[in-house]
Amino acid sequence: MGDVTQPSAMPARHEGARDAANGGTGSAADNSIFVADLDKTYDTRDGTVDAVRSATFDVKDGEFVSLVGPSGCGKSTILQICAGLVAPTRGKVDVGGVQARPGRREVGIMFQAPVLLPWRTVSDNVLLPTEIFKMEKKPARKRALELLELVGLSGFEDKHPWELSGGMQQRASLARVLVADPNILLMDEPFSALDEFTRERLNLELAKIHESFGRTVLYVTHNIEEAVFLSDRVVVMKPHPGEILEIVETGLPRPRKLEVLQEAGTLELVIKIRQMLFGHHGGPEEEA
Amino acid sequence: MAGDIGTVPAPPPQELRGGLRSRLSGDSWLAVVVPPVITTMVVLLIWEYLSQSGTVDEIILPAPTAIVDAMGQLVGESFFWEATWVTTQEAVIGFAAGVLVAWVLGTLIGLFQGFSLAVYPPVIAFQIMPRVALAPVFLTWFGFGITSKIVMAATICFFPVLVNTILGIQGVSKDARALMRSLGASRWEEYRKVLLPASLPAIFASLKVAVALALIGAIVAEFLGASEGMGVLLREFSFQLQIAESFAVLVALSLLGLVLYGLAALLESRLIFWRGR
Repeated sequence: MGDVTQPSAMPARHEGARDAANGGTGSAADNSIFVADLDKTYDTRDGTVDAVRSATFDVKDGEFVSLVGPSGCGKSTILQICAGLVAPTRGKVDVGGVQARPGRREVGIMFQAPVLLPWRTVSDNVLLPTEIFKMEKKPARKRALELLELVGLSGFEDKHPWELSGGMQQRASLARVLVADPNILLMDEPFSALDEFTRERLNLELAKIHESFGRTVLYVTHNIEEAVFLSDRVVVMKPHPGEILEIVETGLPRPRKLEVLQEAGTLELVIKIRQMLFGHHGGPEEEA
Repeated sequence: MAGDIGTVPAPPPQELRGGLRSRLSGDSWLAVVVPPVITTMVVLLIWEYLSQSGTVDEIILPAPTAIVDAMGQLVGESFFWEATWVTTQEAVIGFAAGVLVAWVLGTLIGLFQGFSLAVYPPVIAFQIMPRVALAPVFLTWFGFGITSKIVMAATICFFPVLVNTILGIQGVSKDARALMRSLGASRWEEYRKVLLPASLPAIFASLKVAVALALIGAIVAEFLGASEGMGVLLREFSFQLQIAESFAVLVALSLLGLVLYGLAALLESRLIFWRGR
């Protein structure tokens, strides 16, 4: 798997198709996410649980924002609400200029598990969204193959998912989320199940993809370093109830390089966020 | 399979061994096949001895060689093949009908909570009832012909397919369903593209059980009242104390069951290539 192809060789985006996919609601240029006073409570046998309490933040057009925090801080819940998979209890969640709902071409979601269908080949898995969105077959197939090349899976298009390693499966999943050419990516700990080396590499490639296409990304992780490395801003959250503690601007230069992780400024940011989450000694006290 | 053939007594002559090897893909295959064959041979030899020596009356327990003779005679008789054809039809048509109904019902139960609440409890009550006891009722309803046997076969093979269809659909990963929902897939698309294929391994696993059950259903129904079929042959031979012929039909029945099972297994391995992934 070579390095990510340079921007010039990347698949062209379908500008016209994207405007049409906006469905007339909201302006085509609005690729931001706007969350205001969001509450999410769950009713359980032991009473109501505040999964998210009065969360307010935004992700600007083309910005990369991470939600970071320990288990139970509500970060995944916020992402699922943005994807329209979970309904908010209170508050406003606008994604791409309209209220969050599922089934939009301009919004792509990626899960922690690759969720590849074992009876489909890798390329047919990548093509799944294009079938649901009723996109034209031939160009879709061409684009799927280009994306598989972009994520370093050329030659694997006719394999089945179980013939791929965990990292390669998640690459295929990345190609799938990109195939319908969404402007907004929602990513729920997409690489957290992978080993350290694979994850670092995929993070670097994700940063490059983000930088060359300028997509808006909302990224959920419990890994502070990862959040700092990838993001323009990091939304730091605490659990029970899930609340936003602070929103930290990283100010790191783009394009991101792995060396950034060793720089003093980066380490300072990581330590600062750790201290917000875990107190002065900067170590987790009771991480679930 | 360690490829250990140390337990095989006399290795076959060199040239034969080479031929066998190339056809049976090596020693591991032999290690699987040889032990059960030896067990069977030993049992048959004891059986033969008991019968030939008169320890057990030949009318009660005919010798394996006598059974083979009886089989040799039966395969030359057209009535034997007609009976086999009738029973095969009953089992296969009953199987197809039972599987179809179970699959449709199981799918609806798996997909729709309300339908499940209304339909599943009575279905389970029906399963708990000994359905073989329904055979006389079916005979009254559907007559002496092939129909009552088909219905019996379908009734008996229905349940495992139903249960596996439900489990197959309910066992589909939450992530896969969330993915389809996030894409805005319709319920039909979700079913066609995810739930149906994802539930196929469980359904096909149950087909092997169901095909054997269908044969049981057909035979039991034939015992109770029929004019043709292998069950009828079995009954008549037994009444006439032609036990060797009875055993011959029994062997033929086992072979028929084996063929049907093999076909179901073949279909499964061809269609469900991703099983267990």
